[in-house]
Parts: sequence; structure tokens; C-alpha cells
Amino acid sequence: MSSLFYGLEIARTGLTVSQKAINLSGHNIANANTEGYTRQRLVINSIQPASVNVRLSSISRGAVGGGATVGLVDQIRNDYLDRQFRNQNTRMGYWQVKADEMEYIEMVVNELSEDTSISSALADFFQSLSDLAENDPSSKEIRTSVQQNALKLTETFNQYYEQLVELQSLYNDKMAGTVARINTLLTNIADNNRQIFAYELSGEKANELRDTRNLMIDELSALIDITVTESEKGDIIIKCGDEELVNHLNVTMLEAQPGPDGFYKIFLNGSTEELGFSGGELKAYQDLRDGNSTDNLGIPRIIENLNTLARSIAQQFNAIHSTGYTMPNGGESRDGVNLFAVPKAVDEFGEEYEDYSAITAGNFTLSAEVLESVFNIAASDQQINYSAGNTQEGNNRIALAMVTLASSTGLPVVGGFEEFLKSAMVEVGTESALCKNKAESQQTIVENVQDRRQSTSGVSLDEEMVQLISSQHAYSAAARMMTAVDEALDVLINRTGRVGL
Amino acid sequence: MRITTGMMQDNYLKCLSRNMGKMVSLQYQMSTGKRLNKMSDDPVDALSVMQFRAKLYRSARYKESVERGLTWLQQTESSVSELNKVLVSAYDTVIQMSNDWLGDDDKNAAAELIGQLRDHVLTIGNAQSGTQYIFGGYNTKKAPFSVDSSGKLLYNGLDLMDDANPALIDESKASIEYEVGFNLRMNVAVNGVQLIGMGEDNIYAVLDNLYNALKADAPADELSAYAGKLQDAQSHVLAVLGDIGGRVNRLELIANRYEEDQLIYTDNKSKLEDVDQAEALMNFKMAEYVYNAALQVGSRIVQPSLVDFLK
Repeated sequence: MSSLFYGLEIARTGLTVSQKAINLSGHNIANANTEGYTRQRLVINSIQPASVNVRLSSISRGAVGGGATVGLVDQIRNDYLDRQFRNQNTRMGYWQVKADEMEYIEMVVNELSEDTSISSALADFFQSLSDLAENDPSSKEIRTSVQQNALKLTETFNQYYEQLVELQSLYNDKMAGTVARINTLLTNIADNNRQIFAYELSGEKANELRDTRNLMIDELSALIDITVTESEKGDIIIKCGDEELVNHLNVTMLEAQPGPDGFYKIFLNGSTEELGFSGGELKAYQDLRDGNSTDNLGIPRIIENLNTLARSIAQQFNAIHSTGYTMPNGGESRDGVNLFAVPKAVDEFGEEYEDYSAITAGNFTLSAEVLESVFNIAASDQQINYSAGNTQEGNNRIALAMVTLASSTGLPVVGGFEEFLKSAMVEVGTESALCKNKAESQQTIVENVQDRRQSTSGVSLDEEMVQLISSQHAYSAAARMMTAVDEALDVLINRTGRVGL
Repeated sequence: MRITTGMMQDNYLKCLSRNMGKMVSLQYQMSTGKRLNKMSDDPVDALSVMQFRAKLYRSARYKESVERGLTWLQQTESSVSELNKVLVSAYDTVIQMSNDWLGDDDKNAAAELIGQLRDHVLTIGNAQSGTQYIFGGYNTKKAPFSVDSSGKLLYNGLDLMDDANPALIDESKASIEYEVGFNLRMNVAVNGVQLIGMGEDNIYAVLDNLYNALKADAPADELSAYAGKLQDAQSHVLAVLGDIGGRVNRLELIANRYEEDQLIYTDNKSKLEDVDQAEALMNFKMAEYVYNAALQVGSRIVQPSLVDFLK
């Protein structure tokens, strides 16, 4: 038979547990808005009666348990939702970066704008050529306007090119920056692992440290595709593809090494093979920097389209222009002059030739002759001779043939200059729209998973209030119990055995 | 599902910002007046807009070409009809002079008149549009017709009498083409050889010979032969005029078509590209209403909790 003091002890455990429960409710309420906080709950165990061996002791029959004790402060988390969140977050990271950047690229090459676009420059150029052909092929003013409009065209190309190349190198830098962020996170996660490990040796659960770690892993999942597994011992292993990035306390960092073109390649520390990653912001920047096909549209694809167009314009115009004759301005009227500059190259026999493949949107410009004098623009298909009976000054054949290029469809670039430009630009617009849609739907998915996570792990104030009240009542009841035992003891000690006193 | 305070707040915020986003995009559309501000707003429509814009550029260019062609042709037309008048009055003179009873004085006076008409033919042949000679073919900056010291008429430096000269035959085929439409070129010029003719019976030579004949007091039957030649010349000039008139008609038709095209293209482009302000305003009002409703609901949701009832 247990003593009355046992009752006091039971009441004490009740007080302690209720007090803890009140504190924990306080902790939950205090962290109701803390990012990454997972609600905690008390795992309360009841205490077994003092004596265990019932067979040996008849007096322990009907023994009452010893009250309650706090087993653990646990957190309520759903690993499946975490995994789902990270998978979706990787995709969202990818699409959001792509959507934002594609929108920017679109503003750079904005063909919908009427002020600074290749299509309007091209239209103005054709307009001035038509002026030259049909107004006065020998007029200096009109020739100057042809030269200036041609320059405006080439400069628009140059400007697009420069801005795109600038963006490309920006994305390259962003890759290095993202790698640095990934490395910081990896190091911090491994650090955190050490702290959690040390803390949990005592048998307690390192709830706050785990929250921090989960938050970091969430953040990491937006940057690169990862899979996270927790071993039975509770060690965390983070992998990218098949490569381990973090294994409990060990970290393998990423390294961004510039190649000969200055573009970073991503390696795992100590490895000679490039790391294959397939998602997250890092992949988005890589795709934007390297994408060169319709289904992976990045800067190189857009630049290549512009190059093709510039090349084709130079080739088509030069082919016609070089058969025409310049105006005799101090010298003789001559043919064989190019309108657009073509870089020279040397072939295998050591002979110089015009290398059209070397023309890019970046170096696209007028030939030195035409830049030097507007009279070197050829409008006539006959030599112009002021002393001849027919001076041919009004000959507009070549100028007219160049005007006709505007409506020509049999060009190496599909469907003519304007058509090609249109399809190249619509490609950018469509990709941008696609990225925006993907980013939006991915956002909805992530929000949904986040909701479900919140539903499991978030703090509900109502619930905490109910908890608080019930803990408060339990506390009062335990205190009352103490008073009851105290009174019993008072009866026993002060008023018992006083018969006749 | 367990609903937590955080969820409610998050969802509420998300919905609010979504509503705000809708309002911002409508407001942007309304203030720019454009529904399409970048390609990705609607790639398909944006493509059509670009196509219409290219068509507008092109038809504006063609229209300008047509108008330039019309100016050139109208200048030509007035010069050619002047030439016709010259021929008419030359013919009248010849008919009057084909009477043997007219005296030397009359014939001399007629010769002077014919001489002046002959020189006027030269002036007509050297007519200009702006700074350019219209009958010189590609020779636009130098007067195409000139008379050399022996009184021979030269066209672009070539003797017009020599109709076997291949260079002159080439000149007779000269044209000045304008691009007035898609794959459509049109000759807007009449060259000097077409105007005056070449060989023995070119207009200048006929008038010159007539002048000489009148001076030499030629007999009436010789003079009436000139009447026939002048009639031939006149019918030639009328044919040229008819040809010009045909070309002017055609160009005017084309110009009308471009004007209609431009209206249609502009209209279509605007339909795709521009904001229907009334509709946008209505949508904006709707969005505003939803936003306000969300705010009101929010004030009810966010505020109370169990705490408020535990007094």
C-alpha cells in the first residue's frame, strides 16, 4: 500500500506536465508566424505503479500509477509532403527564372515596338531604296537617306546582339552565383547536421534545429534538383542525380570552372566529369545561356537567327549591288562594290575570298566604300558617264532590284526577310508565354503542397487556445489534488489519535 | 483537413495579390491603350499584328510609288498633249497653205510659224519634272534633245534620222520602271524616240522639212503630202496619249486599292492590338469589385479567433 505522500508526488507530476503543456502552447503561439516552424506537441506518458512484480507482493494489488511524465517534445511533420514540396519547388525555381528572364529578353528584342525594331528599320530601308529608285537615283540627299537607313538597320542588329551577349554573360555569372549559394547551403546543412546529431545524443529531439535544416533544404531545392533521404539513424543524405552532395557530416561542394569561352562548367569537387543536373534555377540559367534549339530556346538560338538574317541580307543585297555601277565622284563609275561589309578570309590555296559565314548580327555593317561616300551606292546597271550622250544618271535598275528583295520569297532564309524575322520573334514570344504559364501553374502546385504542409505542421491558434485551457484546468485540478492530499495529511497528523486529549 | 491560422492568412494574401495583379495588368492595358505590349501577351495575335504592320509598311511604300508614277505620267501627259496641239496647228497651217493662189509672203509667214512649232517640239522633248528630264530615258540630268551645228536633231547624242543605228534602237526601247505592287513593275516613262519617232518621218524632221518646203515656195501638191505625214504623226501622238491614259487609269485603280487595303489592315491591326476601352474599364470595375469584396471578407476572417471569446 502506497503512502499518502505518494499522492503528493502524483499531483506534482501533474503540475509539472501541465506547466510544460502551457509553456509549449505558449511556444507554439509565439511561433505561429515563424517561417519554417513546425508545431510541436508533448508526448506525455503515464508512470507505471512503483512496484512492478505483482506476484511477489500482495500489497501492491490495485496499485495506482505514479502520475504523468513528459516523454518527448515532438514535431508534427509529413515527410511525404516535404518530398513533394521539394520536387515541385525545383520545377518552380526553374520556370520562374526562365519566365522572368524570357520576359526581359522579349523586351530587349521587342519587334512589337514601332520605334526600335528590326522590322521597322527594314521597312524604312526599303522605303528609302524605293525613293532612290523612283525619285531620283542620282540625288545626294536620297542617297544619304539610303545610307542612314541602312546604318540604322545594321545598328539595330548590333544593338540586339550586344544586349543579348551581355545577357548571356550575365546568366553565366548568375550560374557561378547560384553555385556559391548552393555551396553555402550545403555547408550550413552539414553544420546543422552536426548540431542536431550532438543535441539528439541526449535523446531529446532538436526540433528548432530540424526546422532550420528543413528550411535550408527547401531553399536548396529551388536552386538545383535534389533528393533527400534520411537513414534509420537519422542521418540526412542529399543527392543530385546519383551524386552525393551531403552525407550526414560530409559535404561535396560544387565548383564552377570557366571554359575557354569563359562559360562556367559545373563540376563536383574532385571530379573531372561535369555534374549532370536537370532542374532548379541553376539549370534555368544554363538553358538560357546555352539553349540553341527550338525546344530549348536560349540566347544562342536567338543570336543564331539574327546572324542568319544579317548574313542573308548582306548576301542578297551585295549580290545585286555589286553588279551595279557607282556614281563617278572624282573617279570613274565602277561596279563590284559591296553594300554591306563582308569579312575576308583565306582559303586553302592562299587566296582571299569573301567569307559570308563570318558575318554576325554583331559585326553587321555597311561596306567601307558606302560608308565613305554615298555616291558609292550603286543604283544603275550601266556605267554612269557625264560626257556620254546618255549619262544613265536616271538608271534605277539596280535600286529597283534591291527594292524587289522586300517581296522576294525565294531567299535562303525561309519566306523572305520579314517572314523569317517574324517567325524568329514569335518563337521568342511563344517560349516566353509558355514559361509564364508553366511558372504560374507550378506556383499553384507549390502553393497547394505548401497548404497541405501548413495544414499538418502549421500552428492553429484556436487549437492552441483549447490546449491552453485544458492544460490550465489540468493544472488547477492537480493543485486541488495537492490541497486534498494536504488536508488528508492534516487530518492524519494533526487530528488523528487525539482521543481524549 | 486541418485548417490553420497561417493557411488562412496565406490564402487570403495570395488571393488579394492575385486580384491586385489583375487590376495592375488591366490598368496597364488601359493606360497604354494596347492589349499587346509584348509578344508573349498573345503570340498568335502578335504574329498577326506583325503581319498587318508589314503589310501596312509595304502598301504605304507601294502607294508612294504609285503616286510618284502618277506625277511622272501626268507631266508626260501634259507634254504629249502639247505636242498634239503643235501638230494640230501645223496641220491647219499646211491645209491653208495647200492652195496655189497663196503668195510668197503668206508662205514665208507660215514658214516662220512652222519654224517656231518645230523649235517648240524641242522644248517639249526637253520637258522636266522637277530637275529631271522626262523624255530622256535614263538620261535624266542632261537635256536629251539637241540640235547640232548642221541642224540635225540629236537624241541622247544619237542622230534620230539614222533608224538603223542599234544604239538608237536600244534607246527606243528604254523605259523607267517603278515597283507599284507585289511583283508588279510598271513603266512610267515615254522615251524621246517614242515621242518624236525616228528615221525620215520623225516629227521634228517632218516639221523641219515642211519649214524648208514653205521657204522654198513648194507647190501645193507637195505641201499636201506633208498634211498626210502630219496626220500620221498626230495619230502616233494620240496613241501615245492613249497609252499614257491607260497607264494612269491603272495606277489610279491600284492607288485606290492600296487606300482600301490600308483601311482594312489598320482596322484589323487595331482590333488585335488595341484595347477596347469600354470593355477594359468594365473588366477593371469587376476586378475592383472582387478586390473590395475580398478585403471585406478578409476583415471578417482574419480578425476573430477563439481568443476573442475567452473573456
